[in-house]
Amino acid sequence: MRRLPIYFLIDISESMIGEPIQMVEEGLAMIIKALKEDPYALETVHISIVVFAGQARTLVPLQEIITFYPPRFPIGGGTSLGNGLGHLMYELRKNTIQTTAEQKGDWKPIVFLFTDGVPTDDTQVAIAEWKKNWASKSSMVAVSFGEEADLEVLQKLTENVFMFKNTSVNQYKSFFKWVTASIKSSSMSVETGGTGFELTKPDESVISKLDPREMPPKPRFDHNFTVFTGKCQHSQKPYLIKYRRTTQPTMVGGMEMNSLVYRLVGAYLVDSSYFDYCDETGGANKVGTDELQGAPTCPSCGNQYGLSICQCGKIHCCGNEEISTCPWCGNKGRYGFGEGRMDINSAQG
Amino acid sequence: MERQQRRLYITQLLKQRSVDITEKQSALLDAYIDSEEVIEQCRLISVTTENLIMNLQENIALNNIREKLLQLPNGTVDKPYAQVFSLSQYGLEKIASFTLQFPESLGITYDQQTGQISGTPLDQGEFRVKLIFKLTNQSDPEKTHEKEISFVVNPDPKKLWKNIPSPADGIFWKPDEVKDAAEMLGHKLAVASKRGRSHAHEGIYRDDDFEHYFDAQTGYAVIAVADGAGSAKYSRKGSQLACEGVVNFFKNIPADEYKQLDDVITAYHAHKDEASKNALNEFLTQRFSKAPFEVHQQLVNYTAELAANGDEVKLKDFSTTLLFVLLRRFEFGYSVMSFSVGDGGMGIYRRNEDVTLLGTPDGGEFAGQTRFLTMPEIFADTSFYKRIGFRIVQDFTAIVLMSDGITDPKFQTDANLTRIEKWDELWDDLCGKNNDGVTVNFSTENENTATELLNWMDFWSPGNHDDRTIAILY
Ligand SMILES: [Zn+2]
Ligand SMILES: [Zn+2]
Repeated sequence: MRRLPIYFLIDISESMIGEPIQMVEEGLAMIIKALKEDPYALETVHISIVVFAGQARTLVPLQEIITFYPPRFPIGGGTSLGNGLGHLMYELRKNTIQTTAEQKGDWKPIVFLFTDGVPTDDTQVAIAEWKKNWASKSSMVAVSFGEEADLEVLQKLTENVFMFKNTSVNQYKSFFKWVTASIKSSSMSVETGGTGFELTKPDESVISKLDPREMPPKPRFDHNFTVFTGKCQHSQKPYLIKYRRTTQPTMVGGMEMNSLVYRLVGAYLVDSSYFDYCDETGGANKVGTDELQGAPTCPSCGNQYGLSICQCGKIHCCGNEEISTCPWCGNKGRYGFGEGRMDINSAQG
Repeated sequence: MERQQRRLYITQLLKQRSVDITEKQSALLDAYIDSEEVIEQCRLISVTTENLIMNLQENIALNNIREKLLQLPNGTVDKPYAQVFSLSQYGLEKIASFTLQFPESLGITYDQQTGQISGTPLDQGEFRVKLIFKLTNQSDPEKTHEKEISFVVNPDPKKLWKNIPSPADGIFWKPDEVKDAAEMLGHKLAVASKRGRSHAHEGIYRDDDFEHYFDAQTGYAVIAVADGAGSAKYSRKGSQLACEGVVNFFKNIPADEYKQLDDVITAYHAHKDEASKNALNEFLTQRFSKAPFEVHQQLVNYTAELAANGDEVKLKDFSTTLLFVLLRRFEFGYSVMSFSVGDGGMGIYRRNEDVTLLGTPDGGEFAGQTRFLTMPEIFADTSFYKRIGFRIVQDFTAIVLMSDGITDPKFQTDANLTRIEKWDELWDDLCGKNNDGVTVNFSTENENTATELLNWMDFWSPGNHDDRTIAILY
């Protein structure tokens, strides 16, 4: 049997926390479930999931669908596409069965890259290696989740760059249906003597293909989201607090002006593996506490206030306890609330 | 609380509240902490604090357990399932006792004594298994907690393939499976051709075909196998015309010409000198090789006729491979002339001895690179003569012609087609050494060899669901 290897290279940087990563998690489970019903795919398709934030890891080693079960996705800091590609190429090198006199090798691997941001590292070396060794030996589909991904970088990797409007649950459903259908038709095409890479037509209101001959629009560097990293003082667990950046009209000296505010999206627990996926560089954005609208409770212990700032500059949860212990630096202290503005560092994005 | 602890607790409490204590007050405090009232209150505080801490720890432990993603290894419907379940494999600590509860009608149970999960899943899908447990040192020793574990039961891949008959009223229809038996050269021929699962799944036609012919008068036999290209819309007709065309070509050769051929072969066998070699070569290139060319021309003409009637057809629509042999039995052995274009394989097989491959399959590293009889360039190319073969053999276990629906799963690569071990494996497989317990009995008394062969062709090979055709002279 000749395998059709499908790799998912998935951005798990902090901005993916909440709905996006949950949707990806459910989407992957949906893909697997649908492929199990398809006799062509069930027998030829093998799947692997590689994730990257600041660091990259293999979340699911290449395996047949029958043994696969949907993983839980971690979240990390940073968007190191270079590391992600490097790790993907390591997997390709390791797994790809070459055709020899005694054995028929794999069909051309297909890679689905999902990313929502701008790389935080230098991608030049990895892209050069990709072009030299893998671009012709595999088929890559790069998908920008939302409008903030660096499309120019994606276009250097492949002709198949897609923009995915990921603002509703139905759009996610439509998107993963398209991915599933494309995998199905590719697996069928290998058996009927086709090329083994056949993308089906997507719903263009949700997924649109970029013209490879045209310059892509510049990424919008003003991130829509700002994410902070906190730690629960009881369970010591890390969590992320996500704010959406938005403007609101305010009256300044009788004049209406738009001021920047951050609205709370939610606070989400992350694994302690979170730190394994972060890269060394810290977050650059400083945000004033007075710009934040809405305060989260601690997603781990339920403490009233999930955004308390220790003198060490880090965030942890606080409740009614007399003395709080900072889970980052161990400092014990008493907290008063709502006094003045403080600057806090955002995560890497 | 002991006296010492009470004193420490109260002084610290006062300190925290920034209440200063003078020396005189300190003496008062000593008396105060021994009063019934304080002793009782301190006891209450101590119990409350203990409970608080315990609850908090219980909650954190519960949360840790609930957050863990637990999954049992996947099962397959109708296939026995056995797994030992242990907490340590999931890194679950702080559980004192537990049991697993499977959905009632799933057919899977958990044995608490042995830790064994066993049974045969009756249904496919994703199921929730309940882990019911108690924590170590929990405050209420009777309370049980629940957590769901996901358990996936995969479908049986074989049952996913549908078997939809091809439309009998469709153009160029032919039966989805056929078998045939014949006697020739003092041997028996069994041949079977069956639609692949991928075609059956979509209710489309069988593209493979075969034909055979034996003339007792001349002593010559022809066996042909063809595989229509999956991508060509009328390839089922192409393969049929190719096989019929070859048989007709050899039927039309006059008997006295076959006589001359007898002499050429006999002389070649006896002398193997330049003159007899040339005579044989001349027959092969001038006469024998005209068969594929004539069949090619027939396909060209047939396409032109259809096109003249207004049908939108091209020669490419009839793309097909072609393998055939022309056989004759002599006192000194068998002469085998062969021709091949495209993939598949044919060979003269002697069990545990050797195999003589007839023609090298045209295949590329990637699918879709095979050559077809409909390509005019195969006749222009000098490599055309490499497609023709001639052998004289003393004896054989079988002469076999197969389409790639058989060679792909059974040999994987062209290189393997030359290896006797692979042929022995195939022969053993045919003779019953397989997972399905299907046997083809090649005894000459057996009347059902072709039927058995057709059954054998149902063998399961993941990812290999092309049409299958095999002709065996034994
Ligand atoms: Zn907390
Ligand atoms: Zn601190």
